[in-house]
Parts: sequence; structure tokens; C-alpha cells
Amino acid sequence: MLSRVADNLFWISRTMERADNVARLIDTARRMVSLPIKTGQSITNEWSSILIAAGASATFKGDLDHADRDAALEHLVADPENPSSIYSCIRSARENARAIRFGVTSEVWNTLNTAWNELPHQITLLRSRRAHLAEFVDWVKVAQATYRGCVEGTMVRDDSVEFMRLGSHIERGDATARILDVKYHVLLPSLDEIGGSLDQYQWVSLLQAVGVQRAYHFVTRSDVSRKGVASFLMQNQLNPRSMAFSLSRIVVSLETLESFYGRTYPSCQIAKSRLEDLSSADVDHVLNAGLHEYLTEFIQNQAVLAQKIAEDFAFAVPVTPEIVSASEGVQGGQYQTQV
Amino acid sequence: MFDEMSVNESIRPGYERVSEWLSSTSHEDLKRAASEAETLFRKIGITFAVYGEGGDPERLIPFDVVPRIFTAQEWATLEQGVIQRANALNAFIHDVYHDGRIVSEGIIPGEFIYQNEAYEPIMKGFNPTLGVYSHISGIDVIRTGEDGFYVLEDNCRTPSGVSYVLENRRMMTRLFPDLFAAGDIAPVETYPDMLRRTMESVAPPGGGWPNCVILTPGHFNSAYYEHSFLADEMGISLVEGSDLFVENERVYMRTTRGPEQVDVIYRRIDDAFLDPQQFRPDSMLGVPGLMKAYMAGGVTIMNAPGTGVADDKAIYCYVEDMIRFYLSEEPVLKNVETFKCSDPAQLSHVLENIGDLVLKEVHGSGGYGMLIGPKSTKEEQEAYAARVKANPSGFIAQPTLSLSTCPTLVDEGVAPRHVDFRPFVLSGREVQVTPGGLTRVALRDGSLVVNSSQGGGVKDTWVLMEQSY
Repeated sequence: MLSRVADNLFWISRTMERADNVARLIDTARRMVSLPIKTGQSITNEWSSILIAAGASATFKGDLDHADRDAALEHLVADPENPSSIYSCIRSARENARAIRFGVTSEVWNTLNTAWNELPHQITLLRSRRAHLAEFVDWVKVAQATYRGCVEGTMVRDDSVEFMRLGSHIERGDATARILDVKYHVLLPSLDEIGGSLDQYQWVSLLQAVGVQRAYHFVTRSDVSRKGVASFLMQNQLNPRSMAFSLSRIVVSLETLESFYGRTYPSCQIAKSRLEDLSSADVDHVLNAGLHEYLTEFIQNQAVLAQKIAEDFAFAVPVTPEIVSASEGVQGGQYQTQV
Repeated sequence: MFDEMSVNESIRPGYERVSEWLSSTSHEDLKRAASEAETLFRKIGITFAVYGEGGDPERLIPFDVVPRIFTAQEWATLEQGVIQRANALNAFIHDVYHDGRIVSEGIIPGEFIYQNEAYEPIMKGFNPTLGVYSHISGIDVIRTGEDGFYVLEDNCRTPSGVSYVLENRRMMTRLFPDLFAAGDIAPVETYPDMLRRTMESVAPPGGGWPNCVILTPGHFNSAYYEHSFLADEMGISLVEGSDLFVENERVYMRTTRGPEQVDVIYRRIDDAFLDPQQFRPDSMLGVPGLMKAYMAGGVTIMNAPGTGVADDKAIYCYVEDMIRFYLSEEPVLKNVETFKCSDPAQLSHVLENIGDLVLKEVHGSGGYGMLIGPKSTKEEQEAYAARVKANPSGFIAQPTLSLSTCPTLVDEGVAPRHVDFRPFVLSGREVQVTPGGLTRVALRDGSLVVNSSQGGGVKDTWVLMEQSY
């Protein structure tokens, strides 16, 4: 397969996954905003947290610390200047698909083309009705689910589908780390609230945002706790949105490519050792040493892994991740999108 | 005016079915089908791009649901005529890059060839595989009467439009399956296979199974859909310049498995952009070193560089002579009568009759830069005449031909509109034409300009097969 085509396939899936995860981040904020707070307190900086977690602190033009709902939504949903806005993601996915028009099946193409054609109307509705937000989030999730379904249901099982899966899982692992990190940025009224009811609700919101609240209870058979949620989103491979699950799928795809091409790749070794590190990490230790720092490093490592994959398969345009500065929080990615 | 469906109230042979269908189908039903077709075309993404005019850059070429029909006898003439024409053009290109007999024997003035911008000196003495230069030739044909077929233009560079031939047919069989029930309409689906076999047949000798690719300028090009469509139909790679590189006079493409050698390149980019080392140094679309590899026999480029020398409007005047000269045959299809403004006597005739003629730039294309005498004002004629006088050899003139019309769906109902026709000749080990081609239709009442850039649409074109019973 042409390296350029592989590169495009990777990025189509990556940007669609990103649109989905930005929508989920927005949904997290929407849920958190509606949580009860004590009278006299106004610490609703959820929208700022979401902007930071989405890696948009550099592209957001307004006052980041006091970002309001409409400005944050506009930037995360509709801003063409923000390469990670839902608008930019869907546009980029559709453009990348158009650039390799028959590298994807017509069903995959139709899904992307339809999403792109419907998007302006969705944005108009979102701007005119506050109540449309939940519906808009659902629309994005359905667009991504339809896309994923068409990929899994119609793409020939050759190397091309593996590049698409790689794109999805590089992105999703990264996104789950970002969603988990929201908790670090969202302020609590006071320190003694940690472990309190608001704290508790916020952890629940994270589970709801990635759509695994019921799965959490079903799999862990336990109440929502800081350690429980962190471990479930980081390590639990029964959870399809956990960081470990994404890494395990990356390993599977790279191994499949190794067997297709009859050779070994450094990126596969890296992915395997990352998965081992993550699976064997002591969550108590991570939480004590600083979850935020751990997640920041994870996101950096994902970017390096993506870079190695690009090198191994001679992608046309090398993906060079921006160096994440720990002092600025998690924002590794004015993440590049192609085309 | 010659209408292809009905002459003096009687339906012409071949159109019986369509005539009956049109009279038994309501205008609303036809309109509904047309809008369904538009939705489907947009969904599939069959668009061409127009930049710089504002609005959506991705446009659809309007599709007309009423087919255009040729009988088996009409097709036999057309097929013979365009194949003859393509053969003569290939012989001509070979000649001008070798001995130039047609010049030394006084048939064509050398200046029209050797001073032509499209003449590529680098091709002098070079022998492409099988001696074929124009592998894909689009011969534009117009009709003025029962037997009045004329060639309006030859296209030997990168003629486009064949994807519409296939997509229009697919659309028609989807919308109106009953029309095809008789099974007497020649299929056009054979084209991609014919093209692939043509490509394989001109691969450099030696080597195993040839690796064929289509080279596109990329998805911002107006014909990008066609490039990707053809690559997909043939099951070959669609590459951009940056996907290819040259090493040791061989061409390779970058793949996820490493470099893979390329044997045949069907390029859909102009000569000037093929190779920055040889032609325009600022070209980002081409492949550095490609011409060196070509000259060393490491790869086949189709169509060959320098074929443009044969499809110029100044050379057009001589194609009938070429047929006689190289093939010792009489032309099956005539040229449209053409006045060369480079000739003083013809120039004064043109200037005196400018109100009745169509004037064209020798190097113009796409329907731009022409003057249609009967449809122009005195001022426009005078301005154009001044341009012609300043550079006579840059212009030709032709009588205003009454192009045939075909029934076409318009707002008011079904009405006659002018059409032309582009069949595609493939030249490799064999020379073949897919039965059918691209019919373009001028959708505006009375308009003679069929170009998609100027309000033209397209139609499915049927070639009826001989009944075998």
C-alpha cells in the first residue's frame, strides 16, 4: 500500500475518534455544570478545564481561566482555527478520505461525507438552542459509531484496516487520559471536599462521559472511588475505553502488520513495553505521586509511539508531536492533523 | 436543424423506445428522477472543482436523464472513423519526432510543428514501446445531419470525461431499469479492463507483471474524481508526484512495505509539470528524474510527452491530409471546414465574414476565448478582429455549424438541445473504442457551447447492437 494512503487512513480514523472524544469532553462539562454546589460558592470552571484537557489552551483566544460556556463550545465545536474542533476533525477526516477516495469503501466515504454535509445544520441548532447540546453530543457520537461500524463492517481485512485501527486507538488512549485529567483541573470548593459528595459526583461524570458508568459497576462490583475510577480508566482491559485496552489493540494491529509484511517493527516493541508498564503500575503509588504527572507522561508517550509508527511505515508526512510542557498541563497536541 | 430523435414528425431509427418512454412518462416523474440522480451523484462525490468563483468549489456536472442514441450502423462509421484518426495522429507524432517526412514532402509547414509550444525536442529520436504516443485519444465529433459527422477537435494530451460515461450509464440503469430490458444496448463497462490491458501492453519490455499506476495532481484538481475512479476500477494505485521517486533510472513508489518499482504511468498532469528537472523547475506535482528514467526505457509514460503537437487547432486543419499520407486511406470522418488566419487570403475572408463564423484561438480550450459570430455584437466582433489582426497565426475560423439536437429535460418539459460527442480511442497492442462515449449537451436554449465550465451537461450515450435474431 502507498505510504501516503496508509497515512491518510490512520488520520481519518484518528480525527473521527478525536471528534467523538471532544464531544465526550463537552458532555463531561455539561454534566459537571449541573452538579449541586453549596450556596455562595461559584467555582464553575468546568469549561476552562475542558479547554485545557482538550489541548486547546493555546488556540483559545479568550480568557482561559474564566471561559464561559458559549465561548468554550464555539471553540471546541465550530472554530475552524482550532485543529481539534469537531468541525476541523470532521472536515479533515472527510478531506483525507476524498484524497484517497477509493482507499476506503463507498460506505465509509458516504458516512464521512454525510457527517460533513450535516454538520453546518447541527452547529446552527447548537448556537440557537442551549438545550440542543446533549443532542449534538449524541449526533457526533452516532457519526463516529457509524463510521467505526462501516470500517469494521465493510473494509477488506488487509493492512489498510489495521492502519485505521491504529489511528483510532492512538487517539482514544490519548483521549481517555485527557478525560481523566479533567478531574485534576476542575476545582473543588475546598480541600476538605476531596472524598466528599461533589468529588464523588465528578468521578461519576467522568465515567458517564466515556460511557462506561454501568460497566464500572458491573466489572468492579464496587462503589465509585478515586482509585477505582483511575484504575478502571487506566488499566482495565475489559473496559474498551481504558488506556490499556487501546494499547493492547495497538499491539494487536502492529503484530498483524508484522505478520502481513513478514518483518518486525520497533514501534511494536515500544507498544508492548508501554502496555506492560501501564498494566503493572501501582495505582496507589500513581495517585500519591501525582495522577496528572502520570497522565502527562502517558500522553507524551502516545505521541512518540505515533511518531514511531509513522517512521516504521514511511508515512509521507512525518508526524512530529509538539513537546508537552508539564508546567502547562496536558496539552500535547495542537495535535497535528493532515491535509 | 437536425434533431436526432425526430425528423419531420417521424421518429428516427433507434429512438422508438425513448420516444415512447418520454410520451408515457410525466414531466414530474422525469424531474423526480433527475433530482434523485443529482442527490446520488453528490453522495458518491462525482464532482469537479471550480476555484476562485466563490460558492461551493465542488460542483456537479448536470446530468440529463434522456439518453442519446446511435444505431449499430452509425456506430460502425464512428468507430472506424475515430480509430483511423487516432492511428494517423500516432503516425504523425512518430514522424515529427523522427524523419519529419510530412514536412519534407510539403504536406505541413514545418513551423506549425517545430515552433509549436507543445513540441518537445527531448522526444526527438526516442522510441516509446510499440511506437504508440497517444494511448488515449478523445476525438470530439459533432453531427449536422443524417450522414453529417465531423471531427471538431482531437485531444491527445489527457482527455477527460470517461468516468461520466460509466457513471451516467450506471445511473440510467439504476433509475430506469426497464429501458435496458431488451438487452440490446452495448455495455460501456468494458472500458476499465480495456484501459488496463492497454497500459500493460505498453510496459517496458522484460520484467514480470507490470505495475501500472495513475499519476494525479491531487484531490484539488478538477478531474480528481475521474483519476480516483479509474484507478479503483482498474484496481491499480493512484499516486501523486510525492509518492514516486527515481533511482538508477527506474521509478519507484513509496509503500508501507518499502519501495516498489513502477512500470507504466498513466499521467493526468501536463507535460510541463511532469519532471522539474526537465520541464518547469517549480513544479511540485511531478517527479524529479522521471524523464531520464523514461528516456532510459525504465518506465512508460502515457500519453507520451509531446503528444500535444498533434492536437493543436493549427495542426487540426491537416489531419485529413495525414490520414491520406500515412494510411493511404480516405478519411471516414471529415474535418469541419477551417480557415487559417495565418493565410492572408483566408484571413481577409474571415474578417469580411466575421458575423457568420466561429473564431477560436489556436491554443485555446474549454470553450474559452472564442467568438461566435452570429451571437456577438458589432463591438465584440471589432475587438476580436483587432486581436486576430495583431496575431493572425494565433487564430482559426470555422462556419457556424448547426449542431444536432437531442431531446433534453429542461424546466419547461422535454425540448431539443444541441449536443456533441467524445468517444475514447485506446491505442496499445490493439486499437479499440468502447461502444459509447461522452455526450455533452448545451442546456441553455439555442446555446452551442457544451463545455461544463459554461453551462453544459452530460447524457448517457447508447450504442444499439445489431439484433442477432
